[in-house]
Amino acid sequence: MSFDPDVTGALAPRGAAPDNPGPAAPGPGTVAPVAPVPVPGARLAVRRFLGHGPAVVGLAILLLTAVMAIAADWIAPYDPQAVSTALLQPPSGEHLLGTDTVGRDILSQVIHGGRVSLIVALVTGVGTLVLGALVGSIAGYYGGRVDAVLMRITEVFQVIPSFALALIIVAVLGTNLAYICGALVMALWPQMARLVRGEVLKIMTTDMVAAARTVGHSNRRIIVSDVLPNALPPLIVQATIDLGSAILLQAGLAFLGLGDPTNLSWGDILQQAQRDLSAWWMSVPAGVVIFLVVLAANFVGDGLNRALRPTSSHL
Amino acid sequence: MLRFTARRLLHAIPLLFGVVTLMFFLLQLAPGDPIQALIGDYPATPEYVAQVTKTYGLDEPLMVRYWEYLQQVFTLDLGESLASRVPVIDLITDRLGNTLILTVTAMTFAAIIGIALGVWAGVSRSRLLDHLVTGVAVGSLSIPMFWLGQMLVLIFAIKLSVLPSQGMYSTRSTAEGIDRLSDLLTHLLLPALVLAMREIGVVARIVRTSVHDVLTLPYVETARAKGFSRSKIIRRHVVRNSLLPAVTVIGYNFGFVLAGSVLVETVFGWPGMGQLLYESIRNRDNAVTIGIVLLIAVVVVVVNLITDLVYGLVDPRIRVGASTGGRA
Repeated sequence: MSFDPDVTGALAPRGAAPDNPGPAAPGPGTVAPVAPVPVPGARLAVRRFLGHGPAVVGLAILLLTAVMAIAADWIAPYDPQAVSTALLQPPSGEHLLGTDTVGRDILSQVIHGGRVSLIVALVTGVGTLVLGALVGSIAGYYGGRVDAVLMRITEVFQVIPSFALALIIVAVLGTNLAYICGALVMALWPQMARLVRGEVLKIMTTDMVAAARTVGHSNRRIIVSDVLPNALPPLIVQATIDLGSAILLQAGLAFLGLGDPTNLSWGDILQQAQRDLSAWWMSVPAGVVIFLVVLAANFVGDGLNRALRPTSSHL
Repeated sequence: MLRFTARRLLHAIPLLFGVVTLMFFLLQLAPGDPIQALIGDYPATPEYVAQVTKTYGLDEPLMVRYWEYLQQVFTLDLGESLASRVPVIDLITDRLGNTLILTVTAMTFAAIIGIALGVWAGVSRSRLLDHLVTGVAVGSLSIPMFWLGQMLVLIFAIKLSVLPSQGMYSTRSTAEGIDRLSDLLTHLLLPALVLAMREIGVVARIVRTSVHDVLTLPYVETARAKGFSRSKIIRRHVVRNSLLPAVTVIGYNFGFVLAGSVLVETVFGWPGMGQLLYESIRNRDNAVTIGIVLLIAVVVVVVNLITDLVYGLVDPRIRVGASTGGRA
């Protein structure tokens, strides 16, 4: 919903610029199918990204969260699961963000919770990208009946609201992290598949693909080395947005009690907070970090959109 | 229009089949014993297990079970809640009304506030306002809805004590008529606003863009040349033509709102379907959980269909476009 595939301008096929070691760069032993047009150029894209304030702020927030998650064991003042006799204490010098109903330190929970959110976001983002690219490129490339069947399946998954779909999968299968990530991929891939399909259809009409066919390259090779690399920019943008969606969906699941019990996440803290909302020190910090990280992902997505697809309409 | 309607209907039916099929196979994937999955974590007597096995035909081959499941679902037999032993469909219909009160109010808020904000930002020449609306839109997509609810409860119910935090009516209230309605409205305000938040952002952004676009069209220029006042042009020509995309997006997003109500009802203790879902998850009462999600999906298919039809009715171009592949 938030990002429609680009319809404003026909995009020139973008190959990898010489200084961009992307997957489009022909590997050793392969013949470059068609000389790629170096638009927009990696260096230019980086400059455009860095010139967009919110994107830089967003990237900084994401990096900071990542550092916090990786170093959680050293940064967190307490073991997030360690109970104490200081029950439901407001913030103090001893517990900077107070404690929960069984005396666990909230700050430590927030720091460790970032791990779960980021792992879920990354795994879901990559999973969505891979599944969406697979289904979308096959549908778009082969067209006809294959396309019709695949798109119908996509629609079935899309018609169930993503939160409801993720919820039912986790509720039925179980609440460990792997199932949660799998459920989120199931909820988010349809949009990616549609986006990929649209991009593939556009690229299919270019001379590059016609040339690759004339040379006699196999379908798989054309998809992997010509079509997908050129469809990449909008996919990366969408995957970034999906990172944020995954964090929001996971928080919602945990809030309803569908979190991994061995890995407390930000949503779990908010579920705890719901029992006694007057204990604001539980709900405020966890919600603020979710909001900031998701906002950061959206900012970075917007920045990438400007950097990689300068002709498209902006947020 | 008739052909268009038929085509949309033919499109919706396989979609419904697909959703039911998906649910069926999801149940098959449930870990462990399917009977245990149906029963949940309850201690069940052997007689009850045998009865469930028989009712669900679990000793039959997969395709037979699938066929029976289809028949059951299409006759609105969604099984029985294992927590309360009440048919799932009865539990759901009991709560559906309350959920609809909440979701429809939220949609109304989204339409009114979203369109107003969008038009305001679209016609205004102020960059600041424009940025503000875009900011609200991005923010509303990034904020965890249930957390926003918690914050509003914290501020308005706990700190300021001006609005109730839980439920649909005041407990022990004997108010009737207009007082009862106003009691409902004060309970409705916060949850509906929270539920509307995301859609307000989406609608405002779309309306803003379409107002921008309409303002550059020649007929607006013509109206201006005829000497109509700016406010009249905006009211008569710009707003009216910007409404269609807003109404459409509200229709297509109804599913989001319905799914979101699960979270919002949990925060505000609203006695609707979402709360039932929350309880069923806690009780591992899978029949109820699946029944509710199935119902949400069906409602989405139906509302999308209605939106398609209304859109086709209002804008004939859609009917022509649909013949070449339908809504993307």
